[in-house]
Amino acid sequence: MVSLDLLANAIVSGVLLGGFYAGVAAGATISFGLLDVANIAHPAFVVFGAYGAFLLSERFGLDPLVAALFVVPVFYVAGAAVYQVYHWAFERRGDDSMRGLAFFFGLMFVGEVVLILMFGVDYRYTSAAYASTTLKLGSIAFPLRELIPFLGSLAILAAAQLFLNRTFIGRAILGVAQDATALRLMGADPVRLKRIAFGISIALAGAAGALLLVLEPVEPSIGREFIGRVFAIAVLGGMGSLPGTWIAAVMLGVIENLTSIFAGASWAPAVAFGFLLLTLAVRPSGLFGR
Amino acid sequence: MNDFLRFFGLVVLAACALFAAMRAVGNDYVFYAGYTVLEYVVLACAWNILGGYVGYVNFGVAAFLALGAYTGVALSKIAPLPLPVMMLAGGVVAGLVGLGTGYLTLRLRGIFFAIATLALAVVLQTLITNWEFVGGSAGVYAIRPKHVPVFGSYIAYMVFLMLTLAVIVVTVSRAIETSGLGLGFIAIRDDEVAAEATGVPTLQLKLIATTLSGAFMGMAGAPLPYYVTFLEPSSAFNLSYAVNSIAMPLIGGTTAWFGPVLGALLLGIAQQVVTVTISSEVNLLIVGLLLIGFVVLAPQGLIGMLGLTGRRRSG
Amino acid sequence: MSALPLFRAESLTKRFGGFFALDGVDFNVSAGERVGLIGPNGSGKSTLVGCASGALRNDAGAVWFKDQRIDRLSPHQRVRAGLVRSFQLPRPFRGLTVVENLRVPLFFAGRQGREEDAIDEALEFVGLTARRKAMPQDLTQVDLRKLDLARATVAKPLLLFVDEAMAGLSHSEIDEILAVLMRMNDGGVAIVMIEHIMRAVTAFSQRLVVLVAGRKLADGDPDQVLANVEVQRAYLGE
Repeated sequence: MVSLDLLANAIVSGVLLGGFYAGVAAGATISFGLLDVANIAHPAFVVFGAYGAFLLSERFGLDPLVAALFVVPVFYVAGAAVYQVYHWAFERRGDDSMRGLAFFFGLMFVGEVVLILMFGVDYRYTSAAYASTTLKLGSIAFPLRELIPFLGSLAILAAAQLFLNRTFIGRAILGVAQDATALRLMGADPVRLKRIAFGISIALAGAAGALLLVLEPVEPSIGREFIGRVFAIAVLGGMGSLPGTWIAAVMLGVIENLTSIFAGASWAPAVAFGFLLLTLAVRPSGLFGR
Repeated sequence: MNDFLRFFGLVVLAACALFAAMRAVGNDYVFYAGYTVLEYVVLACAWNILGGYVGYVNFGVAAFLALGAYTGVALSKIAPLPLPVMMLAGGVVAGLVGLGTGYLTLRLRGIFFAIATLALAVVLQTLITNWEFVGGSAGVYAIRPKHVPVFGSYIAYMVFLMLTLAVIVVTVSRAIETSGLGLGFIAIRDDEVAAEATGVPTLQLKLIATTLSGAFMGMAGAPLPYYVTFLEPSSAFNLSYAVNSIAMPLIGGTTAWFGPVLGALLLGIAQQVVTVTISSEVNLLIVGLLLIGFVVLAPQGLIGMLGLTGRRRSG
Repeated sequence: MSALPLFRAESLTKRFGGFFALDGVDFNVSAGERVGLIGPNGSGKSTLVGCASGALRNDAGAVWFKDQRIDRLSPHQRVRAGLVRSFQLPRPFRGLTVVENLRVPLFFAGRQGREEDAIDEALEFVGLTARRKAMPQDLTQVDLRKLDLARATVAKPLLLFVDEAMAGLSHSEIDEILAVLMRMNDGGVAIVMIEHIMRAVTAFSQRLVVLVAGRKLADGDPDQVLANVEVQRAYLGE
């Protein structure tokens, strides 16, 4: 018989994890859902963000959340540069999605190897004080290492939503998703818009990486388990809807956590992919899609 | 038909010459290294049938390879079978899984098929890690038979089989290139919507490519347990299989059979050297950087740079 | 000639989210007929072509070809049955020469043997014989349109939907394309021409259909249709 306490805690923990996954996926909702760039290296950038936060925390004693503020602008520039290369090499030449995918796959792989060469395969973690504190509400536990990434991801999603809804560029991106020709006629440069938006998507990935370091120890290949999660969330969440992303992420988090606790942790990565395959087979536009 | 027979004859001749040369060295190390290089020739050509000719990326190469390896392991626990039979069995299982994966996802955009292949690798690795019958996470031993007719050592026998498989894959690739099937593949790769509107049965052709590609990878995986003698999931599902299988055709060139072969030979041999002299991580770094470099700067690959693509250019 | 039209769309409806691109449209084409399909931008013309050719699935209504329901057929199956379309922007196979581009429909859709003569005939038919070895990137706009039509010819269509094949062409180039289409029609191919260029449509069509906001506004003799007050209002009063 399963205790109600265990179940309640599993669900709460799943919600917190799912909320964090939403922060990880927010950038991909922009790059894949809106810009139609299949960046499977997105989780790799998240891991880089985590290691960046780790470095700043080791060298300068910065708290990961503070380190995130430094990571974000660097990653924005990197993202813009990556998009420029991607556009010049692939988008411009026409529909060569095979090579575009291979490009991002190469980036992901090289990134992982570079991390191994720089940091080795051991787990790295933050020594921030709150990382081991747990709040308690009755018999439900809210570990700070899960709660803070949850809240931080809400901030990431709020920032992304503000960008899309309130800035000219953001609204234009929503327009680019519909009609690049119309945008050109308006005098806006679609390439510049996409470059800025892609840069933002990577900046958000970096910020999520700092939160990842708070959540759990990181090692170079940890990004791989996020590929499934990110794309499952992006598709299930409707390919461009941020609220949809959050809901889909929380659903995934809960189911993944329950699976992990009751069927064993080794099954957790398969859950996300199973989700994705199911969604693709049944309703490719997701639950909230256009 | 004459042209085809002539080509087949030349390839068989080249393979025989290669095997004889390896025997002449008189050192089994040549066979160990040669097996890996030939394995990559097969994987690169197999990947290219779907990735280069049709334009759909398969990230789950390791999954198909492992399907071949573990089908063999499972079968040998029931009854010991000769290696060629296990290769066929591995090919059938991997081909069917490829067909199934394709059927579920090839109606959608290429990115979803690619992610589905990643998903396949993850799910399969989880399944096999939890399946005690084939050893689970602890792994399984595969003892090489002592008695080997004709070839002397078992490793020479395995190289012979892999060489045969390479000849088959190369011949099939060339046959595709010169046939209507290959024409349909190019049409799909260049513009799938236009292909469909021109009468090409795109879904069927994509499924054919996926099944063939997966089957060849499965066949290449069947001897793997006997090559490593101790097989465990984390090494069977190693991502470097995918990276190499993708890098070799993209570096060599994707429009003709010679591209993946060239890429596999060059990179395969180079990696044997680098892994031993420097480190396996640096080796993988170089492969990854070469992949990115060629994809961005030289999409025609080496055969394109050398002007060997013939009429077919990549779209 | 059969009693029923070659192509019949009954109450064709297609939605994109909440937007009705087509709303209960009836559209028929008889064998060997020349029909013009006009309407303001966004009126549903290309959607109609999409539903007819199988690129889009209609949400309601029925599509008949040669007295058989084809709603469930994929585009390539409809091509084999004789229903072919061309695209608004030319879509050649960039990695293949002109001749090889024609080999694709010959192999997959040609319904009269597999001879290379069919390719030579098609090239001569559209006037591309001199460019047989060229790659698509080296072709002019009008030559790309001709390649599209040559590809369609090789597939031996009974009905061809030509989607804005004359956009961006010069006066004389428009005449060239018109001549090719007339020649195709002389050979027995029914053609539906979707166009904005009025002189081309009126010179070509035996019958004119007007689509506005997903609905059919008029269907009949070209002069009468154009004289219709509502049609004029739809075009000018925008």
